[in-house]
Amino acid sequence: MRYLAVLLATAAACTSTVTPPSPPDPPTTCDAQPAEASALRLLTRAEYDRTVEDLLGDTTRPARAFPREPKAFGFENNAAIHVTTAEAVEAYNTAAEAVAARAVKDHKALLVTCASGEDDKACGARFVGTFGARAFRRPLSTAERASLQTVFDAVYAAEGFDAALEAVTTTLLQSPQFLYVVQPGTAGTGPLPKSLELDGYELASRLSYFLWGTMPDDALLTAAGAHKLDTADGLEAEARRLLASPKAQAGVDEFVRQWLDLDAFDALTKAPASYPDFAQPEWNARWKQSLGLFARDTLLNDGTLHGLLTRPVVFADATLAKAYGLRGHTGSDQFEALATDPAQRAGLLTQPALLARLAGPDQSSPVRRGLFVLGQLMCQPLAPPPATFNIVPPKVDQTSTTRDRFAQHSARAECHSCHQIIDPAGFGFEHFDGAGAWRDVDNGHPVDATGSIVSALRDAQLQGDFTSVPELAEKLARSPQVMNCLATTAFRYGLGRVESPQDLCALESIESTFQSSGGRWNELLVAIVRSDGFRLRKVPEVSP
Amino acid sequence: MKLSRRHVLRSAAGLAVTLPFLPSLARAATPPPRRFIGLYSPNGVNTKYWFPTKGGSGLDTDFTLNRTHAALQPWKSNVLWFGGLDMKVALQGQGEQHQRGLGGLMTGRKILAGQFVGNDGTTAGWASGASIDQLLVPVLGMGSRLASLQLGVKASERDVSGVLSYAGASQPLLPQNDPVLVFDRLFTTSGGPVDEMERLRRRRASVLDGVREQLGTLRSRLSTADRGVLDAHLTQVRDLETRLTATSTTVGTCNAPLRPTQMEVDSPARMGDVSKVQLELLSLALSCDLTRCATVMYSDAKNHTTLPFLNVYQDVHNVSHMGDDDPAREALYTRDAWQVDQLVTLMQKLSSSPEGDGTVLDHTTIFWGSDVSRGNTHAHDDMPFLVAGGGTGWKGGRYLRFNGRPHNDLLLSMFTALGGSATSFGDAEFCTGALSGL
Repeated sequence: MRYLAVLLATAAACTSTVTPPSPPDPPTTCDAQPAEASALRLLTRAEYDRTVEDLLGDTTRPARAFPREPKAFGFENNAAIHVTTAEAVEAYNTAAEAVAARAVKDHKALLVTCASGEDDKACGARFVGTFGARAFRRPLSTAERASLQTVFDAVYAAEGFDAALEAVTTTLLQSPQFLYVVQPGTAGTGPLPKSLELDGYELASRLSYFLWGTMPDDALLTAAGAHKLDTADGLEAEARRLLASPKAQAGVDEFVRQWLDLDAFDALTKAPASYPDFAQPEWNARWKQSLGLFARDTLLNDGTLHGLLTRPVVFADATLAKAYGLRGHTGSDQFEALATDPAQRAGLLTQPALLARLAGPDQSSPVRRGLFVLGQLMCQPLAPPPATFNIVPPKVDQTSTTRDRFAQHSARAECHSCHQIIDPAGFGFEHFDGAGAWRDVDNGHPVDATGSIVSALRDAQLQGDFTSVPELAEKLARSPQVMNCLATTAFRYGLGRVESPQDLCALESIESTFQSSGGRWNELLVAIVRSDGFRLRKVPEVSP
Repeated sequence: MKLSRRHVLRSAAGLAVTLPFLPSLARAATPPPRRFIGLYSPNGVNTKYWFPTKGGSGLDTDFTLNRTHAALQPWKSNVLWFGGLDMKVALQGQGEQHQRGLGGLMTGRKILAGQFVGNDGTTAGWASGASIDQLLVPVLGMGSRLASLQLGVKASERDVSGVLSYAGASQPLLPQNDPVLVFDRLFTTSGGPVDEMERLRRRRASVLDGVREQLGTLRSRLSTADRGVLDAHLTQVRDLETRLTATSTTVGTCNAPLRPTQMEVDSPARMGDVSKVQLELLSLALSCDLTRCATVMYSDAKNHTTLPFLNVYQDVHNVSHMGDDDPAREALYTRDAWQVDQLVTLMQKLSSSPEGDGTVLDHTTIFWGSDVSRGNTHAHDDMPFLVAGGGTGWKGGRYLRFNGRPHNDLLLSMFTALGGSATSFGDAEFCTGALSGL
């Protein structure tokens, strides 16, 4: 876990006053076996909802009633920590019964259409085989088919054909083959020792949940059945088809929602005394949508990390545009892409929504903003101080600038060792107040927004002063450390697990592909799909 | 959008649903069930205004309530105040003090290693064993429709900092923050003529048998670890099947309240409204015997939230860090007093439901704790614990001080007083035996 190692190294650095040079990466050998990984990943609520929509036309979002998934490093699709509970299993049952009943009533053709003259038994058997395969995202085994047929026969005898369809559908929706992305792999002829290769269907599901956030379409399952996903090139071809599809938008949205923690906007508050124009609860949804649209539109249309970090655009409705002094909104009731003054606002880091979130209820927060740059973009989170420290952010004071208060506050020796790294990055954002609005004056004093990246452990070029956030953004956008950080982040999301030392080789290859593509998002996704981490699994331990 | 009490309580004639349980009123013949509720509020309390003042007599009944507990004066005989209990399980190990404190509060167990980043940057995993509410399910909960309930009031964190109840080691039960979903789970249940119920029972048996078979077909291809995951899943399906297909001989009615209005449950501004409805649903669930074991989490151990409904626009976690004499710490008292109001509300609701010779409150034990005792030192000594209600049979109206006994001893005492059989609770190294003098 390279970045975890970096994290710890940085924590240690905080106790000294001098930042050590980048630690050398551990030597890597590329014939290591693949990383340990679970063969079962429970669908998230978002994935479940989109899957029943694609499978059965059900748009009721039944999974909102499921228990929330735990999150690790911001992602809710981590296989190791998301397990079923009694409440979850009960909720799966409730949802399955309701979804199946609606499907039989409203979308029977999605289940089966019996041929004229076809008897119920034959049609039922056909339904079990074909619809079962769609629900399980691969053909059924003999045992699976026989078991489902037993359900069909029992309910058919008692209640008739439609009830039997409904019962089998209810069974399918609660079966692990549906509820989990199942990826045990099989012993193959691959180059690595002790590795299992995921078969075509396993890869198809992994691919579609990664890029679309939902189940494979028929074409992908057909390609899997024709062994077209068995080679990296064949898998790449399907990945590119998926990325070119309109369904890729939902895939981007899902990554963005988790990566940028868009749900956190639901819990945001601004003190009416400090930010009267932004204290109304409806701002939360507005900010959330603005940031989500920026990230989606930039990743889909510009498609580069550079664009994400530097594009001088804000998505605003008329209210947001007015509040932040953005010009060009037509006055419609829609969010529109508005060009910003690139000297003030350019890219992700200057989005009003993000700046409002990385702030306190009553003042800006150089610490939160600095930590976002270091942690989310540079994958170099600083360990906060030992918990025995009594951390109290400086109180709001009408006579001094935020910068002065934070600087004074962090002057204590034990605080200084870490805050000398965090705060300078955050001070560069001081032209943006706690609501993310531009300011030239803070409490009557001119704003000093010079900032500095004091320590960049994997890219010395990144270190140094900057005088504006757009200038910082331009540096970040060209930094290999930032590219590698996004690669690691996307890897965690794509595989549903945190990287381990065995992934170092795969990650390095992904990083170098991403860098040589000029930071193109889709090339990063394709590189992850082609990697050993995506296609192979370690032979698991099985106790006798 | 505000949900009035009247609104929630009003029972519309058309909404009465048939549920497979007896209303508590009709239960007089059988001994009333006992219940357990665990309550949590984060980051300790403003201790200056918390602990009672002992009187001169030295008797445990001779004490004056502190400022925070003023609203408990009329309820004094229903409440036991505890002092001098230490959460020793949280003193060291993986994670930071808030994570360790929350993970250990109801489990008496240390937390495991893992990948959740805590407030101080250290990492930790889940608690290493089941919590008292879950261990009490087989003791108290057999026969109720739901084994247990985990409710939240803006319990936002989705890792060890946001979980109070555990079914077992690394089996977290994340609380449900949305009262509408709680309502649906409690009151949207299929009802109807007996033959219709019988048909549904039979169909469910076929379906869940099928699900169990599907779990079996997958198992052979998996590693030992993954088999463990599926085996736990299989057990849960089997339990569900038992509960859903049980032939109920006693069918009574419990009037469902109106479905609550949808609220912005993640917004700090709505915490007061959400708490009101959650406590209403919880007391209905207990009074109607839909469940007997529950926990309620207020916020989470990170607790980076404001409390706009109390006019607190500071980050409450930061306030908890302020020095004892810092005037800004008054906001923490405001929060603590509001939490006391929530306890009073819950007791009021439970005591308004007659049962047997008394009320539901007389057969319920409420245990309230936090992850640390004082936020500004992150200490785990002298924890602010309260036990309310009559489920344990302990005499209320007392302030009991112990000289540094581990809090596992209190967990053990509650567990055995409620009918559990045990000589130790949680990690044995932090348990010295049941408390005496209760």
